Amino acid sequence: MSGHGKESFISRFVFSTDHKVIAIQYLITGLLFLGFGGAMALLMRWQLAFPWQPIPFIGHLLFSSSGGFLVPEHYPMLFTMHGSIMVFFAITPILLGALGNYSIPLEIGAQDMAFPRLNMMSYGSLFLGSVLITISFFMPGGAAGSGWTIYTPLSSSTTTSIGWGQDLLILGLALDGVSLLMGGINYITTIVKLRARGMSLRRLPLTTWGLFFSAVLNTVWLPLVVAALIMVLCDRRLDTAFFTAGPLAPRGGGQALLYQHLFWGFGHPEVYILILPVWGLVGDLLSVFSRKPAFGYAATVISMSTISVLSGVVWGHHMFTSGMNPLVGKAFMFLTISISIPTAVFFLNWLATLWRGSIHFTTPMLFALGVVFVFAIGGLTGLYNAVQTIDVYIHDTYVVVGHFHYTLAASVLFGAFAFIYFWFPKIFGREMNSFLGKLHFWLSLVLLNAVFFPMILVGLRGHMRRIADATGYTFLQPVQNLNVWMGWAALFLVGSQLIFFINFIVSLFAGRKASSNPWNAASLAWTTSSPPPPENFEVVPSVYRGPHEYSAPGSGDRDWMTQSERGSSATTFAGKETAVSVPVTSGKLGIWVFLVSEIMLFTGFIGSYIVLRLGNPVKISGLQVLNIPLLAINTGVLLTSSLTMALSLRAVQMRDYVNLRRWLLLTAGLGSLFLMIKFFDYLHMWESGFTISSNLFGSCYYLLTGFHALHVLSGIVVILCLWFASRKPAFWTVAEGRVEGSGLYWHFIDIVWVILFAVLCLI
Amino acid sequence: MHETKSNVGLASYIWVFAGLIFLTALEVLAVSADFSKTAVLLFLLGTVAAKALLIALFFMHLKSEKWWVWLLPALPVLLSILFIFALFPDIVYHAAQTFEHRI
Repeated sequence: MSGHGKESFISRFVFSTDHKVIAIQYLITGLLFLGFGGAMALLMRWQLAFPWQPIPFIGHLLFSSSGGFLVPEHYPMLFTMHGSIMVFFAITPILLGALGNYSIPLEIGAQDMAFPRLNMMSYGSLFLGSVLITISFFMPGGAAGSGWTIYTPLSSSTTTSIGWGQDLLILGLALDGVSLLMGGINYITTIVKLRARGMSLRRLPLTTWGLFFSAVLNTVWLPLVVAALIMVLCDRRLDTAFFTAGPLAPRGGGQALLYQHLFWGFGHPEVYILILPVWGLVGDLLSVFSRKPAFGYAATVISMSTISVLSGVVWGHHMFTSGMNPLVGKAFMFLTISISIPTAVFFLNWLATLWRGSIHFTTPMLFALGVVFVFAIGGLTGLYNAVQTIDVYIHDTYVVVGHFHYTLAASVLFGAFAFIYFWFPKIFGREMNSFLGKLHFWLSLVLLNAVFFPMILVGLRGHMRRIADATGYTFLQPVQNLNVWMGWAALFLVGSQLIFFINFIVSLFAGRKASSNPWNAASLAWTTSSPPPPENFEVVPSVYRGPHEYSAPGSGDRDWMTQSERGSSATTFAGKETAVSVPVTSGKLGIWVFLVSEIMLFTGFIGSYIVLRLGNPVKISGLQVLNIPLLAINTGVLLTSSLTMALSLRAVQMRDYVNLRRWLLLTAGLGSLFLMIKFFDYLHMWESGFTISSNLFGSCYYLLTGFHALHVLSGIVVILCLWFASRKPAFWTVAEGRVEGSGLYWHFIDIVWVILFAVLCLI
Repeated sequence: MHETKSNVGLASYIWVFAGLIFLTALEVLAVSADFSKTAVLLFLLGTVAAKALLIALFFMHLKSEKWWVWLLPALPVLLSILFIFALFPDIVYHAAQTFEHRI
C-alpha cells in the first residue's frame, strides 16, 4: 500500500511512491537521455563522414575552442559517453524502469510494488547517477574517454585517463547499478508475492516473465561489475593496483584481464537483461494483434530461463583476443553458440503465433514485428562473433559494432517503442496518432538498416571500431563513401525520431481519449480504467484464465476474454501456485534476494583477491603483517553480536519487548566495538607504514575489510533504528518481521567476516 | 508476519556460539602450529565452511526453512565458486607464466 491520498505536487510527482508515477519518471529520464545519446551518435557519424570538418549549425556552440570541429581527444569521449548513456541511462530506464514499474503490478493484479519506498529510492539513485554523468562533461579534462567498457589500465590510471570525468562516470554507473539492484529486489518480490488470486505462474503475461528473469540476472550479475568499478576507482584515486601490472605497478600489481572478466561477467547478461523484457513484450503483442494465443507459451518461458542461465556462463566470448587461455575460449565458444537453441525456440514460437492469425498492423504490432526482423539479423551476425577463429579477424572492427547495434540498439529500441505505443493509452489515458506512429516505424526501419548494415560491410573490409578518421588508412579509402552514406542516414534516422517526440507530446494533451481496453487485450492490466485509479483496480481482481485468450470458445460476440472474466471455458484457481501459498513474507523474501546480490558483490572482491594472490609471484601473507590475536578477538566480538542478534529475535517471538531492546542495544554495542578495534588496527598499521598502496595485499586488505566495516556500520544504523522504534507499542505488531530481516543481514555480515578472517588473515 | 517459526532454543544458540568460538580458536592454533601449508589450508577451508553453515543454519534459521529458501543463498554461492574457478586459467596460471617469462 502506498497511500495515494491528498498529496502535494512534490510528494505526488517528485517523491512519489506510486509505481505508475515512478514509471513515468523513468520514461521521461530515459527519453531525454535517448535524445542526448542520439545527438552524440550524430556527432560521431559526422566526424567519420567528414573528418575534421566544422560541424554545421552547432559546431561553434559545442566546440568553440577548436573552431567548431572535433579534435582527436573529443572522439573517445563521444563514443564512451554515447555507449554508457544509451545502455545505462536511456534503454535501461525505459525498458526496466518504465515498462517494469508500470506493467508488473497491473499485469499481476497488485495495488503497487512490494516495496514502494525502495522503488522511489531506486529512481532517486538513477537520477543521482544521471546528474553525475551529465556533470562529467563539464569537468576539467572533459568526460570519460575509456570506452563504455571502462577497460583497464586505460581507465584505472590517472596518467592515461586524466580527468574527473572518468571518476564521475564510474560513480554514475555504480549509482545506476544500485538503482537496478533495488529495482530487481522489488520486481522479484512483487511477482512472487503480490499476484492476485488465481494468477498462477502459468497465467503470467510473457512481458512479466521477461521482466522477472531480467531482474534475476540483474540481482545476480550486476554486483560483479559494481565491485570492479569500485576497484577501478581505488586504482585511480587511492593508488592501488588491482588492474595494473608491470612498470605501471612498481610495488607489485594485479591483472588488467581480471577487470575484463568481472566486467563481462555482468556485461554479457546485460544484453539479456535488456532483451528478455522485449522478447516477452513481443510475445504478448504478437498474440494480441494476431488474435491468437501465444504459441508455445511454456516453451517460451523455459527458453527464457535457459537463456538466463546460459547468459551467465558465456562472457568469455568478448575476450577471445585478450590473450585468454585458448582452451577456456573453446568452452566459451561452445556455450555461446548453444544460446542460439533457446533463441531459435523464441523465433519459432513467434512465427507460429503469427501463422494464420488475424493480423492487425497497428503501430505497436509493427514495432514488435520490427524486433523480430532486426533481432534475426543481430542474432545471425552474432553467431560469427561467437566462433573463436572468426572473432580473431573481426574483433574490434565495425562488424562487432554493427552486430551489437542490431541486437542492443535496433531491437531494444524497437521494443521500447512498441512498449510506449502499446502502453501510452493506459498510462496517459489518451491514444497516440496512428498515422504518425506508422510513419515513424517505416522511416526508422529503413533508416536504421541504412545505418547499421553498412557497419557490417565496412567492418568486413577491416574498418577499426574506435578510429575517428578512416581516410588516413589506404585500405579503408574505398569504404569512405559508406561512411558518408551512414552519416546522412544517421541524420535522417535521428530526424525521423522527431515524429515520435511530436506525436508523444501532442497526444499527451490532444490525443483521443482512450477507453480502458483500446487494443481488445486479454491481460489483467486492460480490465481497469485508463489511466488506472491510485490503487490500480476498483475491486481486487481474481484471475480465471491465461493472458492470451483470443478467439476462445465462449467469448460471445467478442474474440477475446480478459483474465478476470468467468466463463464456460474458465479454469478453476490454480491452487498451490497462487501467491497465497508462498510461505514467506515479502520483507523476508526481499532481504534474501538482497543477500543474493551481496554474496555476488563480495564474490567480486574476495574472488579477485584469491586469484590475484594465487597468481602473484610475490607472496605476502596476512600472518606476516597483521596483528592476528587482535583480529581473532575482534572475530569473537562479531560472533558474539550474532548471538545477541539471534536472542533479539527469540525475545520478540516470546513477546518479551524489554529484552528485545536490551539484546538489540547490545548487538549495536558489540558491532561498534568491532569497528573501534578495526579502527585502531588500521591506525596501528598505517603508522607502521602498511597502507592501502603499500602492495597488492595491502590494497586487498584495506578494501575488503573496509567494505565489510561499511556493512557493519549500516547494520548498526538499522539495529539502532529498530531499537528506537521498539519503544512504541505500535511497532510491536511488525517487530518480528523487522528484527528477523535485520538479523538475516547482520548474520550475513558475520559470515563474510568469518571468510575474510581466514582468507585474508590466516592463509 | 513470521510464517516459519524458528524452533531453535536458547541452548542451541549457546552451543552454536560456543562452537563458533572453538573453531576460531582452532584456526588460530592451526596457523601457529608447525603443520604443512596444504594441511592448514584444507583445515581452514573446512572450519570456514563449518562456521558459515552454523551461522546460516541456526542463527539465520535456514534449518527450518523450505527447500526453495535454501536455493536463494545456494545458487549465488555455487555461481561464486564456479566464477572464481573460471578465472584460474587466465589470472592465476597466466599471471604466473607471464612472470616467469619476464624473469
